Amino acid sequence: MTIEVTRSTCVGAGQCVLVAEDLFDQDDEGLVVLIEEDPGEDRVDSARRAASLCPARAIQVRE
Amino acid sequence: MTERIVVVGASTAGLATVESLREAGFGGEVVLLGAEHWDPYRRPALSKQILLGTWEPDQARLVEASALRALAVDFRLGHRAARIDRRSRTVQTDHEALGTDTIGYDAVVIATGASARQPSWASYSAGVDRPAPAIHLLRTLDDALRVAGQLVRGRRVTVLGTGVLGSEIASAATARGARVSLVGRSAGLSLGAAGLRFSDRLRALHAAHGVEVRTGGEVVAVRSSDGPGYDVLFADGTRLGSDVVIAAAGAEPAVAWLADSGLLTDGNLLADSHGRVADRVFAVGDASSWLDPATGTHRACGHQLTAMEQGRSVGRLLAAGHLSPYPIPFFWSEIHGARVQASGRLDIADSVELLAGDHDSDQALFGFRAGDRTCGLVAWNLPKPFRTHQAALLAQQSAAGSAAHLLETS
Repeated sequence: MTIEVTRSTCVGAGQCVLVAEDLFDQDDEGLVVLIEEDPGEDRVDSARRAASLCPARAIQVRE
Repeated sequence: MTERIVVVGASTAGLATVESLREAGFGGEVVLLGAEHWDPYRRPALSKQILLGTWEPDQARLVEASALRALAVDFRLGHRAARIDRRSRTVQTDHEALGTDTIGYDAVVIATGASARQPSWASYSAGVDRPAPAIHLLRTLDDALRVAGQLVRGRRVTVLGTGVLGSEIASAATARGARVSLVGRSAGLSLGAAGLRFSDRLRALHAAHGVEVRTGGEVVAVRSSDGPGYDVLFADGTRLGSDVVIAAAGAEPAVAWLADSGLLTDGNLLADSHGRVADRVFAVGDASSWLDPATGTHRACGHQLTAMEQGRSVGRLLAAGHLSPYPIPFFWSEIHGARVQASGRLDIADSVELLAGDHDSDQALFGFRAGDRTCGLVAWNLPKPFRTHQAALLAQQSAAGSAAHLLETS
């Protein structure tokens, strides 16, 4: 699994950090910072959940 | 068994419906009808990145072309739905070049969105001997590209509308070097469901960037002026010279095509809190008003995240029979570089308190309260405190939501 984030699309809602703080963080402006680009398969569910909760659809998960 | 699902409307809500149908394992046929000629795109970007000129249209796409193909749906661009016949279970479509077509459905999901409202006076502003001036509306990507082309340095731009969209357009036009006036009938500037509570803050922001704000002024017409451009005429007889006039007077559900369907109640497409309208008929996004289980009233959707969640909710319901919790509103805005984030039920609040930051600074987080509980949040340039408080709000609402859900299904 790989995760991609599009910072130009991010609106800093922070939903991703709420559900997967081991994968995502926010910088000082609130924009998404990807911590783990290629996490293990055991974290697919939380990555997918973060992607689906993102109000700006700024997170892509590819398997 | 449901064999063919027709989703009418290929924007945020329609796309989310289709994605979630496939994700939840629906293996039948899916037809996705889109009235425009663009692949699904991000509507919130229209009044921000597209007007600013920082994004090309392709950057506004909601989904990569390859991902769209991978959904294996029959995606028909440029096919506008013209009618539903519930007896024969068909949707009739109209295409500019290909003409009309009829598609049968086992279930249909209506996601036709909303249209920009024409100002009420626009129909008679043609005047006596001159053609009606072009009053720009902003709803579609084509609209946004057209308006962006008008935002030229030094031009006089008048934005009609005191809501968030009006403020965003004024902000983008200013950034492009235009001389901007923001006018409307309302007593102040509003921020979505928060109403006029942040009017002073918005006024200060616009003033700091040179936007002239004129509230409480009723526009009665826009006429070609004797010189270049137009005159915006107010009820009190004053006029405002403008080169470009953009109306942001709100939006209304695009449901006129359902007029003879028997699905509308006083012109509205009402759904229950899971998107069901009638037998085999569902509705998502701005076209519909879902029943809010907390208040027992129907509410329009209005924001991208709610449209996405409604689409997913109906997708899961149709594919797997799952009922999803009622979505919690969230919206964001960017006005003169200020990042605004709002969540929850701002409309039912009876008081507002400062949670972080400072009343007089550009960084502030406000809690909206109904009685003794927090029902919503609005952050100005404070994304991290917003997230922390948002977590608490979501936890509280999901506890309340699961209780409401138990009540509903018991």
